[in-house]
Amino acid sequence: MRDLLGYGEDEATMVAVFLHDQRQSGRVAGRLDRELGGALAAVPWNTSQPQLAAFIALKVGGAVFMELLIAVLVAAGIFNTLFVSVMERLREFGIMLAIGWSPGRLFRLVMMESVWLAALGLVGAFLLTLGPYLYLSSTGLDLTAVYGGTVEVAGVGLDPVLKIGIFPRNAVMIALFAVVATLASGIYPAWRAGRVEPVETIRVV
Amino acid sequence: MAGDPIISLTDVTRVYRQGSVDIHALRGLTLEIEPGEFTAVCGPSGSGKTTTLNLIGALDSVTSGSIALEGRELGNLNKKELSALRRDRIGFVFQAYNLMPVLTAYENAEMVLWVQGVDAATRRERVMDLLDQVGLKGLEDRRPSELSGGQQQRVAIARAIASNPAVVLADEPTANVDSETAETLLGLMETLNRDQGVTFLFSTHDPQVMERARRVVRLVDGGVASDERR
Ligand SMILES: Nc1ncnc2c1ncn2[C@@H]1O[C@H](COP(=O)(O)OP(=O)(O)OP(=O)(O)O)[C@@H](O)[C@H]1O
Ligand SMILES: [Mg+2]
Repeated sequence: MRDLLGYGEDEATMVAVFLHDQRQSGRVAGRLDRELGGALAAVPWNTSQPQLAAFIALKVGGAVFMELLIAVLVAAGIFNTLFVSVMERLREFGIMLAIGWSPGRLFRLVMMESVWLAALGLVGAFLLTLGPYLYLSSTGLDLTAVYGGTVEVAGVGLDPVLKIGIFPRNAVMIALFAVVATLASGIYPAWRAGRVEPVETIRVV
Repeated sequence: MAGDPIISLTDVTRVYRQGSVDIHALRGLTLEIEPGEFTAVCGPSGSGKTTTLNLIGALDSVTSGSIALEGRELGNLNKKELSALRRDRIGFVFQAYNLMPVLTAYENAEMVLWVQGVDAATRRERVMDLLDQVGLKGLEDRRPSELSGGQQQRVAIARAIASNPAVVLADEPTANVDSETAETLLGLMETLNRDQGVTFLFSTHDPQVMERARRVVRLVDGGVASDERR
């Protein structure tokens, strides 16, 4: 190829710089560009490979949509759990209000339950996903059999062994989101607990 | 009559709206209860006994008229103040016991002290003493489902007096137990009234229970038909 185009050993039209973290590519390209001056241009990968970038953006968009959908389902599940547990205890809440609990105190009580639920969920989810995550990030999933050899997207070859990795920042975001969703789902049931009419619940029929 | 009444109801009415009909549960009820009294409220079904006790206990609010507890006008208190009043100044005993099913006898009696923020050591001392007084020594760790009706009502009485309330309100406290148990429960209430000066106001249908009250207020159609002390 080089011979064909008449390039020397130390000549090139393009130099690829590999980074550990693709999120830095914009910044690094910008800095390189400045230092290289006007003669040469440095561009981040998503500018040099627009089709690949578009493909990944599409994938990420789909994943975000799925994540939101799952989040809504999870929040609905938590809401249901808390709401049912409150409705089952209306009588108890009525008694508690009668003997001097304030609605605010009952609200905090039920909110504490959702905090526990969130904490339990986080620990449980961490323990459940740790094994599969470690396996997928070290060994990975070999898709050679599925794709039969190499995989190429927009002219860029991909490793058929799929390995996953998660940015710590994203993991924290997901955990935070789960906690917020749990707490938010607890607000209505907690409010409802304090709205019980003691007279109704203690009435003998 | 000496001193200030602990409870005073002045011209109290309570109208329940059911659909398009008004039900006049109380029609201008006026009543005063002195500290240390042991009063039974009786009267036919629907005469307003439960309504009266619920109003005094700040579980319900009057349609017109006023109720004062230890001189404090209930109508002037907000929700939070009413909660605090129920917690600190009123003890409730219900016909259906209404204990917390998941808590032990000990914990049921302890819960009011817990909300009051009493420290653990004082709570322990007070609850053990209370359960001893109501004759439940040794049954501290039983849950309501493991106690007889009479025993459950004893726990409820212990819970009601735990905070040293100004008054214990009991709506038909003996209606769910046999007459022998009713006798012993009443004996317990009498003892607490006599020895500790706890003011009791309870409703009943039972002539045997009225017999032991020192004051009997008879309601008919939401008003006082008779009121005798003895
Ligand atoms: N929440 C309510 N809605 C409508 N009407 C009610 C309500 N509570 C009580 N009432 C009515 O008010 C009247 C007085 O009821 P209350 O329960 O005070 O009577 P009571 O003397 O306790 O009767 P009982 O001996 O049967 O317990 C009755 O006619 C009753 O039907
Ligand atoms: Mg009644």
